[in-house]
Amino acid sequence: MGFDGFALNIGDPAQYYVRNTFNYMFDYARDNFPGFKLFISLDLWAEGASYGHTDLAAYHDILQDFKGHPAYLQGPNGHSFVSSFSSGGLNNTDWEDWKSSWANQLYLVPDLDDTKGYNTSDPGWWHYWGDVIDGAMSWETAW
Amino acid sequence: MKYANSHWSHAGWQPLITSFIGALKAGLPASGMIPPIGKIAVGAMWYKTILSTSVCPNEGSSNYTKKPDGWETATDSLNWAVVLPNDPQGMQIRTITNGRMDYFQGKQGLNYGTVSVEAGDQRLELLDWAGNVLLVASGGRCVSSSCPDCIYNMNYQVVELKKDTGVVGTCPYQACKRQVFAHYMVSLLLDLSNLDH
Repeated sequence: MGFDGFALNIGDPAQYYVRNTFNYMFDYARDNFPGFKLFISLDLWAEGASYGHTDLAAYHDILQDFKGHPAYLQGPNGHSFVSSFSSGGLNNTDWEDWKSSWANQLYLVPDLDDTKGYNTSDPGWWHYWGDVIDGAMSWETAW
Repeated sequence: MKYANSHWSHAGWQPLITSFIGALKAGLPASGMIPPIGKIAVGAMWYKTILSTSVCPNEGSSNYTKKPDGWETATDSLNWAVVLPNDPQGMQIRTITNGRMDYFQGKQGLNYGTVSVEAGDQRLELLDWAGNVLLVASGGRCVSSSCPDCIYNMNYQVVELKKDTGVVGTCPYQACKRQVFAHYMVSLLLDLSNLDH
């Protein structure tokens, strides 16, 4: 089809099959399709639904272990590309703190479609989120 | 949210995406999208199967019975896209929503559009200049004005244009029977408990 990569959307990073699947997919992409890239999407919506709260720290190990893999997508700033499904109810400073915990060595493009002003691209939304994120994305384009 | 599975396959988009990626990487505009060699056209229609007026029972009783984020931005639409060859020779695209027909003149490359959807069967057709049906997208779930899945299921039916012109849509049950019954039982119990007061 001509794809260059895709997101791996993870709702519960602690599940055993997550790491197994990652090992297989990242190595397969590296060995067979070196131009094909993968990146992690933090499914904070599903995580919140199963844990009862949002926990960015739960993704630490999986991101730490794969963000430098040759098949991991690097953003235009040279850092690892990370996306999300929902804001997880976190505010801008939560995300800022999380990014700082990675020494800002990320290219953060979350899906913040549950945040106020997102769907109208309100100037206030950009004021609030603009300095925190490197890009915005959406999982819903067909409504 | 129900993820894509056998009843909610989104594979019908793949020929369109293939055509899009081909044009994008060649630096061509949407009019430069082409069907693969050996095919008249590629295309699909997609739609969600409930209306914005649909009411689901027990809303908000759990994460999965809440309206999903962005629910209010959704429209009641039958969406379609069809990629036609260099010389479409008078081809037309026809949408049929619950029997209501709309026509669109075909042009080279990407054709796309939206019509307001009605509850019932949905169908997309590619017609030749004489009105003969060449390709059909049909057989997807019907749109319901009720809540057949008992949640605000905003997943899309994605139905690919194919040669089998005989396929007709299917209309499953319309109401959320199980939960309506449970809801009725709760109401009944509350009524009974009120009798004590």
